[in-house]
Amino acid sequence: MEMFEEVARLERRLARERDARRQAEAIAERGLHELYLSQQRIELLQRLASAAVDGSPLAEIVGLALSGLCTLCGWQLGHLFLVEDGALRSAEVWHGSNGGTVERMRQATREMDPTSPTHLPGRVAASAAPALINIEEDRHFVRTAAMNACGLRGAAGFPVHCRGRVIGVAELFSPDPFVPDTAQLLLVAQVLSKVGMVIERQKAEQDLLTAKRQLDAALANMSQSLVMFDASGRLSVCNARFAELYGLRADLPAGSTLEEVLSCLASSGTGPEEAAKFGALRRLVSTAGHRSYDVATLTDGRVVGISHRPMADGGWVETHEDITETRRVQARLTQLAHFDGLTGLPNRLLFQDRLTHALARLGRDGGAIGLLCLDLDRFKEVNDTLGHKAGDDLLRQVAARLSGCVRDSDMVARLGGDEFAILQTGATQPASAAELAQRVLTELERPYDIGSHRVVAGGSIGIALAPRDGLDVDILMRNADLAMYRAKANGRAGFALFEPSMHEAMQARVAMEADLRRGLSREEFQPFYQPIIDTRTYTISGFEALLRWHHPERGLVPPDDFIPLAEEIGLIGALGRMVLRRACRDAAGWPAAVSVSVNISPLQFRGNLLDEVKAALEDTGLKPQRLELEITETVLLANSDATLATLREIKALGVRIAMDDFGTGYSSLSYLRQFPFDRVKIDRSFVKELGQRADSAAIVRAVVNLCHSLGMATTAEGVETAWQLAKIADGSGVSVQGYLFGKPRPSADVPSILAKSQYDIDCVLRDVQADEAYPGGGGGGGR
Amino acid sequence: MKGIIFNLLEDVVSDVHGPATWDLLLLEAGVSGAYSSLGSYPDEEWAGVVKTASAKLGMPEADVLRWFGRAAMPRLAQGYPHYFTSAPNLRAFVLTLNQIMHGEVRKLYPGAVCPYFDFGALESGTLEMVYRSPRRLCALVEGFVQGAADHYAEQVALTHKACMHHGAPACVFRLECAAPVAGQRAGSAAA
Repeated sequence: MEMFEEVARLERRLARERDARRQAEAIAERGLHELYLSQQRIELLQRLASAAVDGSPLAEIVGLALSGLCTLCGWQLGHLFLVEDGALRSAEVWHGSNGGTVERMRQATREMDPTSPTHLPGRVAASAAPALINIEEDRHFVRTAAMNACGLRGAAGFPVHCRGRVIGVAELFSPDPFVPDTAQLLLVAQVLSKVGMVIERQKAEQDLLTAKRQLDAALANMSQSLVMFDASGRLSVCNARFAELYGLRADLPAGSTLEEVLSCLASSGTGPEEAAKFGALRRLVSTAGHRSYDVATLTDGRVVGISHRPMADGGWVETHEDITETRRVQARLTQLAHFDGLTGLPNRLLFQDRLTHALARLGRDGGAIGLLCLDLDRFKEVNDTLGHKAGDDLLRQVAARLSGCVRDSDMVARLGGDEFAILQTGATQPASAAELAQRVLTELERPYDIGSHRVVAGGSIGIALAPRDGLDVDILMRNADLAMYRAKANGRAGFALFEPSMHEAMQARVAMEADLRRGLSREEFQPFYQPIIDTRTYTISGFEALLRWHHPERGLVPPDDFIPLAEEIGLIGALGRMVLRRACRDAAGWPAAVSVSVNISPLQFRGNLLDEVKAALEDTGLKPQRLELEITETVLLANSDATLATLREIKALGVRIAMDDFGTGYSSLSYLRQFPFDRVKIDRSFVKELGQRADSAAIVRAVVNLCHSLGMATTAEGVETAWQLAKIADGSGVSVQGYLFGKPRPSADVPSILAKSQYDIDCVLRDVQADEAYPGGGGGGGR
Repeated sequence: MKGIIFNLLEDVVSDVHGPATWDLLLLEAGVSGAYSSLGSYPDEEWAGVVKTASAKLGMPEADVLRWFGRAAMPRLAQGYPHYFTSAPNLRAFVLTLNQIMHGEVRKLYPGAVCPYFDFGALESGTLEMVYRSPRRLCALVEGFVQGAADHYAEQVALTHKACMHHGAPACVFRLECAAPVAGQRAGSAAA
């Protein structure tokens, strides 16, 4: 028994020992298990860290994290979303041991909007907290069918944080419903924190890369050269265009010192001429913190504009630009703006500018200025007869001669057309200006060789002096102009100094001009009529209409006082139309045998004279044959075909055309051949000189005979005495006109003149007979 | 060989033949017999114990291993239930063997030399399993599979198509799993 008891006791003891051993083994197993898990977790984190340090691609690191979590936690599938522009987008990284499962879940995931907060990833992103789902209990879960098909029952979403922001969501799927496990949640958080850092770092790298690429593109494509130095004066950025500008190798090493870069510039042979000085300047400007712009001339002659800007960190940035061409264009534009293209002389703009400065200096320093304005006397004739090229040639030669007349300190300018000006400073006035004017005139009077022609073209000079004649540019120029007009009026090739009376005369002229315009609108003008006597019948054959101005203050103004001005200011057209119309209207009321003569200004041919004549005849009912138009040779001097055509058309209407003032001017007989005049009017000067010059009578007789043989009638003007009449009307059939038979009278007087004309003429004829032996014969046949 | 296998064999032998039989086996095999589940012991000791058991029980060594493998399964299911609950049937369980061996066994026993199984799915319900191990314990594998089939109350037809003991480079098994027999799972697990 004792032995059995002893065996039983030993067996119990053995059982206790075995239990103790088993318990100890179980405790050790659990410890080992925990240790193993910890090691695995540490290992996973280490692998992630090392992959991140190695710069492995994001997809690889995410894959490592997901597969590690699945392995360590017994999950089957993992997937990552990234937050992009506030929305969740699949990173397209899936981990799963079963390809079919991955594909099925990938498809189901694609079909939902991950950002929507009703779905797992969206909910996690919105709450920034993990979410564990048992799909059998969550009715909102949309991927249940796919999970069932894959034998998955648990789904979990975990936020990926970086610096407090959710930048992604990891989804993990398990065959079993998720049971919260502190160790697992901690592991997930640690792993995803690493992933977050990697995502953020890679994003930052990507951003940096993008920014660098943009910067590179901008640097490569900008038109200017750019170079950047840091605070220690070392090169940090430099674009290819910089190297190109200075002919340097393209890869100028970053970190080169300013001195090294400058020595590269110098050795390339293209750098700024004073490279070292330039570098010192750069540093100086940079230290002072100023922006600056410099222009440097390179050793090869190019000009570079350098814009220098200091940066906040003590460095500076410069842009260099080749402005050689820009400069050239600017210089050319300045030249064009200030100089006359034809003669190369300064133009009006530059001349006035210089004059302004000279006047300003005068105000400070005293002294005197001479301003000479010069007008060529026969430029228009040269231009008209020899052509524009000859005109240009003349202007160039004049410019050269003028430049040769002045000192270096004087300025010669071409103000426009044939107008030149000289600014004379630092001389004693008025002696110097007068002396210079005389010298210029003498020089200009020498003949010019223009092509094969020899041309003489003097000038007229007006002189104004400052301060005597004004201290204002405009006034001084005006006064010099006035003096020049005076010089011209005094006869060509002279000069005149400005006098205040010139200004007064000009003012008078201005007043006259205003009066003229007003007079025309107030009908202060009217034609007067002077009878024309046919010496064959000694009857009044017609009247010449002569314009008179009844000035309200000055009384009757003679035509010579206002016709030239009216022509100059363009009023002659309106005046001429008015006279023509009034004369036709008046003549229409006269006896049918009495005609009317109207003077036509050359300027009226510029308008539509033919239509004006037609309209006047039609409107007044005057027969064309009773109208005679008088033109001077000036009309033919212009000698345009259009003028002759107009004359022919008017003559074709039946209107007669008379050549007025014949015998003055050129009186070329060729005019008489150019147009078949109906009448030639012999100038009054011949009649006046009948008693003084023996040849006058012969000339009158010759003209009358010549015209007679050409089929043209003749009229002698200015017949004032019976003696003159006797001398002229010796049976030649000439008509006469003059005070002897009556002064010009208003229209209202014409009927009475006509009425007593026979009596008056008889009285005249009696005087003639009394004066000397009356020639008798045919002349009085008609009485 | 891991101590846990010795412990399992001790349990199975002691349960069926009494603790004294185990002591005799150790004595006759000439091994120390002090095995801890945490320790590793020379493979020769395992071979010696199996050889002695074969002689003592009058069974070929392969049969001893098959018997041991099948009988050890309920004890494993008791000690490590989650390996069995995570697989719904025999086929799924067999497919997790590598995971159990390499994930779980190595968790506990660093340095353990575990066999590796290659699987190939044949027609529906049929699995090809390739076993490679210098220990050539293919009979133990057969026993474990049979034991697992008992656990899931499934019929399994196991064909040993090629064997390392007969010069093959690896053992190739063909497993034909049949649907579980209703009501038998609990009973066979308890057996």
